[in-house]
Amino acid sequence: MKTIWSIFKFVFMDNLRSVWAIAYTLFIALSTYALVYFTGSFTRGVVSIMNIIILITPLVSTMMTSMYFFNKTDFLFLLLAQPIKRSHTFIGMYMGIAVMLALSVGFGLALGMAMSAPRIEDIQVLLLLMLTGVLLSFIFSGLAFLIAIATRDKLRGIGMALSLWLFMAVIYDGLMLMYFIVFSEYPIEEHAIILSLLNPIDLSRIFIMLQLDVSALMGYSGAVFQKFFGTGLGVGVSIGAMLLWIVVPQFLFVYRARRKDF
Amino acid sequence: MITLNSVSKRWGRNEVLRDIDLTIEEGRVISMLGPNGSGKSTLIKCILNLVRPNSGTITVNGIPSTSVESRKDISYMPQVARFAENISAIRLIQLISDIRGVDADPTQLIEYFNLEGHMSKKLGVLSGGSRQKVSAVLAFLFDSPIIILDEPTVGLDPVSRVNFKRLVLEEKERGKTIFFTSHIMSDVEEVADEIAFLLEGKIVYQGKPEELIKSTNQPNLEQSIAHLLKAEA
Repeated sequence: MKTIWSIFKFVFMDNLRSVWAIAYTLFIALSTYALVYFTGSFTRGVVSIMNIIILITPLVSTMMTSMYFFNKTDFLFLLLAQPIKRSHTFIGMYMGIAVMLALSVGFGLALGMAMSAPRIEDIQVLLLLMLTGVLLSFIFSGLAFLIAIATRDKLRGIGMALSLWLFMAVIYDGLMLMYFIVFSEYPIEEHAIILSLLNPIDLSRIFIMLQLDVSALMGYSGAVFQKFFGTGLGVGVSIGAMLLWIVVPQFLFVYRARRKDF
Repeated sequence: MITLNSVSKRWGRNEVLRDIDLTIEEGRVISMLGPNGSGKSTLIKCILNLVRPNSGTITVNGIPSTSVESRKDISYMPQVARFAENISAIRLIQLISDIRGVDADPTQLIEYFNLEGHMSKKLGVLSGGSRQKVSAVLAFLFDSPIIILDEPTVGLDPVSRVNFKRLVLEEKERGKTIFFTSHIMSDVEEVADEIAFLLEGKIVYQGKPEELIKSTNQPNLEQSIAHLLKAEA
């Protein structure tokens, strides 16, 4: 554990001091502030802020993790040549990047809200968005790590990570919609739930919508989720599934890293 | 002592190491030579367990290289020293000390390589040569019985190169086993007790540099190696 902690601290500080981390935090803060300013209140602007969080957080997490991994191969070789387990090296590195990304989102949102003179009732919505941003940072950083470990080539690795984001953020919803239209005559509620569980971006959208109880914006899968589980259990299932999206890729990348040639 | 027994490694269809048998005796300085792509870095990575051979075994002081324990006896200086951009050199040294669980004092080595003014600077702003020296500090800091250096003098200024070679010889006097790769033949002639020449994944010569010079009837090691390459072509 001590070695994981040492590597975590080092990678975290290295990332935290990068220009990209500062730019990312400021982008989230300024977007939040601008949306609150234009919509008049944090609660009214929440859907727009949510869209930024559920699209931008996965993209930035994927890209920053991939770039760090592929640009730091010398550092990685130095760590792997030390008398420590490979799993410690990779978990330490992953945590260092993911925690920095999660903090950037959380701090950016808090800063944006603080700039726009918040009310007490906005705090709950802020915390909800912060939690979603944090979970998405960990999920997509882990997925990018898994892709980076599974590939040898930098360009292919970054390309695959970007494709994964594009698939989950854009293409997946289109495919789901087509599926629902084609099979609209059939009972496909359970399919809708399974399809939602398989995409962390959809899950995070449902997670926020269930809590905000904005049925008009919930979409088909969100409505099915609420009908099937009810609001309370629906929130629990969506957050549980997102936690699995964090844990499973970690197991997979540690498993793959143990067998990889560097 | 490092022992490689019938080590082979393939990358797809490309056989990078072919049935390598090599013993690196304790207290010796051995240089691994060979053209680019001959398999030198892969061989070092196999010893460090960064790459797993398809067949054969490697032991480090009797411990299989697949064991984490084997790397307790090894310090490694990689070919390129781009470790982290936004962290100071002293923090990097602290990190590796923490990982190894060794509380070594780097002051002497920092002074030796004239790095006093650079240790608190971010690694990203250091010149390539200074980063290489930081990497050298890491390689010699932990008093490991085996030191593996991958092209260690590339990027060093003449004074630092002289200092580096002196340090290698001092460490050898202290009984350390040093295994290094280099393309700079004058460095090899000065410090290596033995050379191993790798060509297309096979060791085609292993022995003392002066014996190679004598057997090829050439004036120096560089020309002996060129002669060997021509003969093998």
